[in-house]
Amino acid sequence: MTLRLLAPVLFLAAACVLAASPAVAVASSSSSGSGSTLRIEADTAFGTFNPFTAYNQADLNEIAVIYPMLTQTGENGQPEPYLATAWSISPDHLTWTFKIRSGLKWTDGVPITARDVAWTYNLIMTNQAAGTANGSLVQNFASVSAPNATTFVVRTKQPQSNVPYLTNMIAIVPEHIWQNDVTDIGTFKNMNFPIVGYGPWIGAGYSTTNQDATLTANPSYYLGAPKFRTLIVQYFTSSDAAVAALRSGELDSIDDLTPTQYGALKGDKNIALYASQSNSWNAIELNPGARTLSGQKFGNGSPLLQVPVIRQAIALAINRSELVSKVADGLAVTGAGFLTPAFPQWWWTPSASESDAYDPARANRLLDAAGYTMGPGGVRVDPKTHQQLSFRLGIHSDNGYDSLIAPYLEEWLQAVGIKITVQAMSYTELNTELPKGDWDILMDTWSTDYDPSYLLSIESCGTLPPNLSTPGNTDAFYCNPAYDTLYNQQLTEFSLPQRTQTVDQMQSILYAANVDIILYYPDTLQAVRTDEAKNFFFGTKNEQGFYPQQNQWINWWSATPVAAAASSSSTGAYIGVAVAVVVVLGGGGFFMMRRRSTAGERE
Amino acid sequence: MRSAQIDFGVYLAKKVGAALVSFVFLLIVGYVIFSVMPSNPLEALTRGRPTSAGQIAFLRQQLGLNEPEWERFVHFVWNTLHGNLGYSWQFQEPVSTLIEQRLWPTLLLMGSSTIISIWLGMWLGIRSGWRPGSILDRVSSGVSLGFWSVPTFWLGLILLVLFGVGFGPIPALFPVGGMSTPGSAGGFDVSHIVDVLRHLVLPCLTLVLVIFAQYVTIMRSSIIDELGSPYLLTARAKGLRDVEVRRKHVVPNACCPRSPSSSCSSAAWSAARSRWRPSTRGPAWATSPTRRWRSPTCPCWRERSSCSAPP
Repeated sequence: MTLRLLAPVLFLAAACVLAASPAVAVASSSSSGSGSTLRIEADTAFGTFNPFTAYNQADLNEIAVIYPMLTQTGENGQPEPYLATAWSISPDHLTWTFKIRSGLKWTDGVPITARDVAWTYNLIMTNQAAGTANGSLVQNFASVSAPNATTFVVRTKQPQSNVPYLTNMIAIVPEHIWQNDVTDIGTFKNMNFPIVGYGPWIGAGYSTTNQDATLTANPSYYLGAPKFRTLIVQYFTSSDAAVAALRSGELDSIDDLTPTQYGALKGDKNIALYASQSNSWNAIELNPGARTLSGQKFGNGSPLLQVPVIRQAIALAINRSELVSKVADGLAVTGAGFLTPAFPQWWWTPSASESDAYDPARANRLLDAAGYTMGPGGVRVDPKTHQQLSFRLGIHSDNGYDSLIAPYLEEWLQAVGIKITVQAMSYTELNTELPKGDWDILMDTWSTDYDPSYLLSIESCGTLPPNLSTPGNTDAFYCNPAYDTLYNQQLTEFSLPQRTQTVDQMQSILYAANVDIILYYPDTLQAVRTDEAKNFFFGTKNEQGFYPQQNQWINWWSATPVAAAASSSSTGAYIGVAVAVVVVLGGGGFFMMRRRSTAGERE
Repeated sequence: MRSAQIDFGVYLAKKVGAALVSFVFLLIVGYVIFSVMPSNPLEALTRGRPTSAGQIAFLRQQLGLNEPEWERFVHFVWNTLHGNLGYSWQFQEPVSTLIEQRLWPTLLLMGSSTIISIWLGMWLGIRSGWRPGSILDRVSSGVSLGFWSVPTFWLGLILLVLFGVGFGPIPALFPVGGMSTPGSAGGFDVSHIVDVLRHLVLPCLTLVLVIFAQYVTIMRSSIIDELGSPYLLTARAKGLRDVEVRRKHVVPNACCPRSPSSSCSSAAWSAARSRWRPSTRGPAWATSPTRRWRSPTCPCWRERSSCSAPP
């Protein structure tokens, strides 16, 4: 009986020992050997590798390294040559001419020409399904053409200064491969491996069950092949599991750590931590009055928030620096302008006279002067309507930082006589309430790309909903004709200093409006295993210790394997196996002795 | 004979009709719940992305949001009846394909963890119940109920840290992510199977630790209930060893009346393995004149429903 009953136990233990054995681990792992494979955590789940329909960040990151763009964003955040070696604009600012690099070939050996570029752009402009992802980028394009193999011409309807920025977001595909897939382009997933493209990597495989994509280095890449032979990008549904994978050596890099995870990884000798300047912000948005393009008002937002002095008092009552230290563990920059510090050319900070930095005394003075007297419970009252200055604050119930920030806001605003009632809503619910205008104050977060046009556009009048049944792209129902004039002006300014000046003016207007009160810009926190990869990061730290915003395309291409050293982990694994064997044998022995001692009783 | 056929036809029609009513009810409830939920698919899909009015109109038309509600419901029912469960915008695949892709990993994880939990829980429950108050009973009950009260995700994270990353003298033993090593060839060769097993260990262990307590508890209490039964005395008086009394008489009688079907299935599996023989004397409920259990071939869980009980 003993052996029969013990057999399953021993079998399970043996299976565990076998599964944990380093010999098996090495035999079954194609990527555990250092120097051949770079393993990265994917930002999101994968959906498709079709560049015409992809919008998951993981898809976009992969597409960016297997297909070429006309331009690319360099280390300084400016458009630089890629498929196009140079570009120029006509005197009327309506025609852009791109010179296409010659001698490049798709991975199947067919030459890359301007015809591929024109075909791709034409498809996006003329086929609705193909325009799913990037249709809005070419809205102002009147026509595109390829007069010869090395020239690509874009004719715009109106002058547009950010065309070289837009062209680094549109992947060029080989016409001879894709022309057969046009009919079902909306559902085509582009998962016939290896994928014919051109870039530092070649799409080589995708595992549905593992949620990982495998890419191999392209030896004929014009800047030189990547130093790693294989790149694996794997999605982890739990970021904590990804951190565990990094620590165990299953991943070589993670891009988006939380401050807590960042702190927990400090002290690991094999992991280097990097904080790079943020391309996103966390803010609260105040409802200045929901309305349609034609001015029809809707929603149940408090009319008191339409009063600029109340919005300014709210801004003055918030201690943004304390949020940086208490909520973001110091790994953030105090909020100010609408655009983020990741891109220095667009980074704006208010002057001393403009600043609405933390000053509750001034907030109280402003509200007193405006006649909002303190009422029962320490809440101010509107002298005309006798309404309390009491507002709802919608937070994302699925975002831990919102819950951390909300109590601070309650306390600070209470100190100036404004009552806040926190309403936790799911991301979906909050985003559903937003276009209906049924809110007072909402937590808000946005990130931006190298070109700020889109982020600036969401505060323009043109993004207000056209009617009550169609949502617009507006962020907070803000509408200011002076701002719109500047927005349209910056789109047609072709000199960077001139455009920067205009964008600064726009940010100044937004800052004074206090419709979006930027709380802080959270750093992008990354970690890299130094025993696996070097040269992963680029740029020099600034005085705050933050690296420039990283471009994953460059990170993955420049990463260099570290020469494999004698691994201590295998020693550890052998120790583990020994421990497991001792436990199993010891447990079995104990059990046998126990059985023997009670044999008489059983008989 | 003809009457029996008609009866069966009526019975079948009733059952099928009831199933259809349930199915239609579920379809309506499922549709209504998702319709009244505060959500805007267009907003969720396009927020944060540069989207032109033309793109929004195209998406609206593609998602069928421009159709009246009743028409959308009809499409929903029609598609469901034709096996079309919808299209996932997240993964850009039909939902049925997504389910199909995830079926095998789900079966592997849930199947292995359930089987191990049942086996482990019953094994411990039988021994704990046989000697209530013993060290084994106190330890197994305490440990299993302790794990039962632990949130699964939290236990998973702890096991990840302990055995996936390594902690103190414990080295990293098992992989922490994925179902197999990324880039591995796949297929049915031994190294891939072992690789999948290595990846299975931590998630399977997490589930086993959390759910085996229910089998321990049920089996333990059932065994304790049987301890005072007279047929044990008879068995012992006939000179059967203690372990045989437990295995051949107590366990079969303990498992059936009180255990859930999964436990009974497991008991049947165990019975087949240990060549069950009938007990010397049935349990209390089996001593009633109409429910005497003597059939040497009838597994106990069938006795109440269909096994004949010859005198």
